[in-house]
Amino acid sequence: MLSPDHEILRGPFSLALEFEDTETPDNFKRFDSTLGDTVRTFAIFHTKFSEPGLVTSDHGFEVVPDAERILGGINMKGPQYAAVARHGSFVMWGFQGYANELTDTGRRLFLNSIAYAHSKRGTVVETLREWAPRDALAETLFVWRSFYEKPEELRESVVRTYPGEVIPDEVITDVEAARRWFDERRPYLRRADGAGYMAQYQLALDREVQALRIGNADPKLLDWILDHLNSEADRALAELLLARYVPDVAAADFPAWLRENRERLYFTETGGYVWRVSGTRAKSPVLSVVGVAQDDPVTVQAELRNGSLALVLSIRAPWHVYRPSDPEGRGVRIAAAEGSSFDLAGDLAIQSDTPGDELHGYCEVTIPLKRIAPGDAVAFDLTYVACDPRSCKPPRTLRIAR
Amino acid sequence: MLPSLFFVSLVAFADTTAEAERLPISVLYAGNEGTPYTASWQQLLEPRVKSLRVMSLSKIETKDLAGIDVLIVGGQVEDKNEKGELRLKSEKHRLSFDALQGFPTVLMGGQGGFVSDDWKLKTSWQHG
Repeated sequence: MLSPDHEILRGPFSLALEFEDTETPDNFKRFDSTLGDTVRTFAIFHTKFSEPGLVTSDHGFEVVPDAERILGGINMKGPQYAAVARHGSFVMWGFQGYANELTDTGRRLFLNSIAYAHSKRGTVVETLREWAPRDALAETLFVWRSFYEKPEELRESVVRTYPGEVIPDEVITDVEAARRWFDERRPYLRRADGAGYMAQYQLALDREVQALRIGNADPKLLDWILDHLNSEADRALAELLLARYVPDVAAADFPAWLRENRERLYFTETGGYVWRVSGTRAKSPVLSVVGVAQDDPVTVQAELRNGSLALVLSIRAPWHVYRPSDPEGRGVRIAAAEGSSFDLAGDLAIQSDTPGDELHGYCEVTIPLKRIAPGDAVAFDLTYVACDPRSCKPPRTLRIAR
Repeated sequence: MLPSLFFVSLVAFADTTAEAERLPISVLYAGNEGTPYTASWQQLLEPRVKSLRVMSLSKIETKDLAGIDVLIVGGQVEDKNEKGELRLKSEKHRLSFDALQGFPTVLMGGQGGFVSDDWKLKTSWQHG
């Protein structure tokens, strides 16, 4: 149990926990070689359901006290992954199965989870999970390493998370060399630039803070910025670092902001590698998509990412949509709508494995934005034509908005 | 006669258990409407909460939460494609994170994970 004294185990309904010793999964031992041959468990369901349940990574979970891991569970990931957890007023119950298969303990625990969620009314989420934490790279280097049969598989995995540098051979072949390599970079890692879907899982090295030898999560970085904002020689660098790590505060306001909030500041990796004031509500980058039909062959997810509008289109086979270059004018189009504080500032970039004018399956659409009015309002119209091999549906326009 | 007496005593036992486990909470369960899976959760919850409303997740709007204490999101996530291959499916929904901030919500299993993904919560499937 991740939190054995948690109130969810105490009430309102008492639990008669009947522990059993369950063989420790091999994957748990890859995360933690000190684990014994068995772990203590209690049953939630009488039988195992065919569908997978859900556990979520512990990385960065409890850095901000808006979230807590409560219970783990036997899973295909690691021993610290949570099956029952809370983020703000959202309680995760990761177990999957029919209710009539719950054990007495499972049923009462589920009811306690509902009561616990109820007790958290008004508790807000302060940071979201938008970006990969530094430990994602560490996990690849030191845990997943043992899952790969060939060195090249490990290299590909490392490059997927950390694409901006050539990875030395010894990092791939020698775990101690990998540890030294990672430790040298760890304090200076930040989220990668770019607006593509994979950017959220990628890290980059901040060479500016590395040159200063001050980690980006070290409060000394804020003092360095404060001290150099008015320095002839370093003003540009101080402004760059301020925009990167305290993006919501203008240079002119920074001295007063730091004086006022110093004791309440925290650094969040998953929230964007930025300094924030404790107690501030998270601002979701996710945009609503209005006009969706349940049977439409195209599913659209939209968000703001690194100054761009980023869309993911999932197109159900046998349907397809068209690239903007389609000569018959059926291509995907995006236009700013009335009331938007942002306008398009470049061309659509499309990432898809499909050659030619047709887009099948999964594709990413990104387009840079520029601010044209104060405020946070976002309003764009996405138009596409979905066709199968026999016919086309009428053009559909979805409103992307905040 | 014995089997029906046994049945009556089982039902009575179940009712007693449910009564002893009653929460003074109004719940909206958002699942896959009309499926045995959702029916099983409805059956569990109905006698154990102050009031229960069951809806399809895809039909819920923020206004449906008026008078509700806790929203529960659940449902099955496995489906088969045209070729009969197993795939994961997520029910489309219209709820937004900003509207639900601070609202007591239980996110169950895979469908809860998909909603967490949509809202970038730490309880997400993508980071699981």
